[in-house]
Amino acid sequence: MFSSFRQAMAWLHTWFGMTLGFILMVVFFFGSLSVFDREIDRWSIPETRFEPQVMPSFDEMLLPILRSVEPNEEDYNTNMPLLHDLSQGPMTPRTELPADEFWAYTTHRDPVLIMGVGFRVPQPLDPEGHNHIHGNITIDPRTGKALPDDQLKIGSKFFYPMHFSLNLNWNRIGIYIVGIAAFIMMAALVSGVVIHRKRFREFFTFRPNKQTQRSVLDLHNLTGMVALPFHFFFTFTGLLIFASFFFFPVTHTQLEPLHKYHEMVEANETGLPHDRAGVPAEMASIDAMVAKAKQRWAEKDMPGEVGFLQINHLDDANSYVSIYRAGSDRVALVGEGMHFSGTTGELIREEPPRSAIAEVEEFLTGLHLQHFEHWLLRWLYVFGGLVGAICIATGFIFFVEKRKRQHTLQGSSGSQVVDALAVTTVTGMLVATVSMLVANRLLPAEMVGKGYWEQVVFWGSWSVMLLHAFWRSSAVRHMRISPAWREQSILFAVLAVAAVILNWITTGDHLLKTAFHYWPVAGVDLSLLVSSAIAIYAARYLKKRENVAVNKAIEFSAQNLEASRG
Amino acid sequence: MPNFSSPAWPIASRIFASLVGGYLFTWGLIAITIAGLIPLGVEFHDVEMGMLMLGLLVYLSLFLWGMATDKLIWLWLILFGGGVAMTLLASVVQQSFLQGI
Repeated sequence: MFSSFRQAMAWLHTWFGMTLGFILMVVFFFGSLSVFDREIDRWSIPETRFEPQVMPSFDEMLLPILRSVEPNEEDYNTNMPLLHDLSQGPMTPRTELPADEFWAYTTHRDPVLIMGVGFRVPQPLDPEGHNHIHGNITIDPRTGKALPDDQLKIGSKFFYPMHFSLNLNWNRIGIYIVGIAAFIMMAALVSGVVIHRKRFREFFTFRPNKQTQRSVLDLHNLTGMVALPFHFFFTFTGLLIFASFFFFPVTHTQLEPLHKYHEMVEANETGLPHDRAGVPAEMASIDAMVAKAKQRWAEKDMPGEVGFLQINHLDDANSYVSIYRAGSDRVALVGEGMHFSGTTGELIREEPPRSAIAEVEEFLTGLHLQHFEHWLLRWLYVFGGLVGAICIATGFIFFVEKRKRQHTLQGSSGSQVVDALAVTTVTGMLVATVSMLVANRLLPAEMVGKGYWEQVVFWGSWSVMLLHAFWRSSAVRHMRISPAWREQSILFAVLAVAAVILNWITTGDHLLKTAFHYWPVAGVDLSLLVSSAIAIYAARYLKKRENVAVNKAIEFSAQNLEASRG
Repeated sequence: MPNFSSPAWPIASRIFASLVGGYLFTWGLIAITIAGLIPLGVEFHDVEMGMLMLGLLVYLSLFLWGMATDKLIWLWLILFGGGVAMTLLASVVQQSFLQGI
């Protein structure tokens, strides 16, 4: 069917890239934003604009709060009927579920403290399963005051999940769609190199003043090549992070018995009880365990603070407490976990040195998840992600530029549709993102369901941009540039500046103030202003190119007319 | 009845064999390696993680090969045949190991 390997790769690159590229565009853009997800959280919830704190006293502050947390109603309604065994009696009412697990998590970029409770299902259908109904809470660690749960953390709870799941949660379908797109991204990178392997120089050529088709292809090759290791690495590690649960859940399905056997062996080796004893017991002081853990880390020459703490089998003779170090000073996600008996406070287990494979894996996933404090590297991630977005966007434009003449002659609307979808996923996505930020500042903080309405604004404005892109796309059929590119750029520029001004008006935090005192918010504001300036430049440049294209289109029609007259 | 002589048919068959067959083959390879190495005393999460990393690269190579090869019959035979055989074998090995302890 294909006459050569190279031709097969070109086919694959063009058609898979054209269809799944729209998904990849979203993944790359929101991945770039996710590097600063916590900063965007601060911007969108002004009550949380303060410095990150170390984990406060567990015994005095966190424990009483955790004891008052109730199971989440939605989680209960969805999962309780699935987990509970009706033959043993009716379902335990939501507020009477016993707590089984407490946890608290903090990062160096997060001033708020996230905590949660896993509630036990007393009569489970599968006693071996993970029978938990959850209840989470976010508090201000300085006072212990609960922060309103209704406010959406736009960065970490909307933009970040957008990156790996498109926020499509029905049966986790979004994760699978992103997974397939990521796999195709790896294939596109390999095939892209194969297509051009004979002319290596092309990879580093950029001729901005040639005709659009030529310079767009240059830019596509250049961005693809310069960031090739970055793109391959991130796609690969992204897939790897989800592989064992989602993409190749071999040990959670077919080899589950072997996995269970291994867990039993491991529980015997580690001395950490796999199950509850069923004997109620008092908990020892958690703060004393934290102090001991910190002392052990210091002795191992890696002093640090607590990042994650979890109490397992709460209030039971078998309870144990796992304390992990905040790993923000290194790339690999290593916790140096210490496990204490919950009832005596004794250290039961200290995690042994890791094997070579575990170290490689922790380094790879750690590099992707970037929990570390290294601002230069974090910004490099943003630029790497945006370079990927440019690579994908130029791929679309090249597809359109190469075919629009032919499509026009054949009366096909192929290029027109691809162009409209490209507008939607490039400028349309930007408009939707910044519209959400504007809505965040316009809707009152105490509004019920504010987070829901912010999402409505996001999806609503994106849909409007889709309609607008299709409405304006007829220009492509006439061999011109769709004005939707320029119009949406202008709209984005205006909204981005509006977001910065609204932040100032509603919170009093303007750049002159935040630039000296609070970088998370200053960084978001500055990024918005810079993006706005780039969008204005792009719009002006597009106007020039549109005029050139109009002249060419007139020539083209004249030639056509002559040809048809014969 | 699909029109097998339409030009879309061979390409659809090729994409299906490369994507689904490649996946099945990779699944089988991961499963048989884990099931085969655990009884030899290799650490569980080491094999699992190692095979997931290798598996992704194997899947990518199989997919690219499938998209390019002339030998569509071999593509179907190796990917589906090999995939099913390794998957079944993994279950057998797992069962005999767990029964033996």
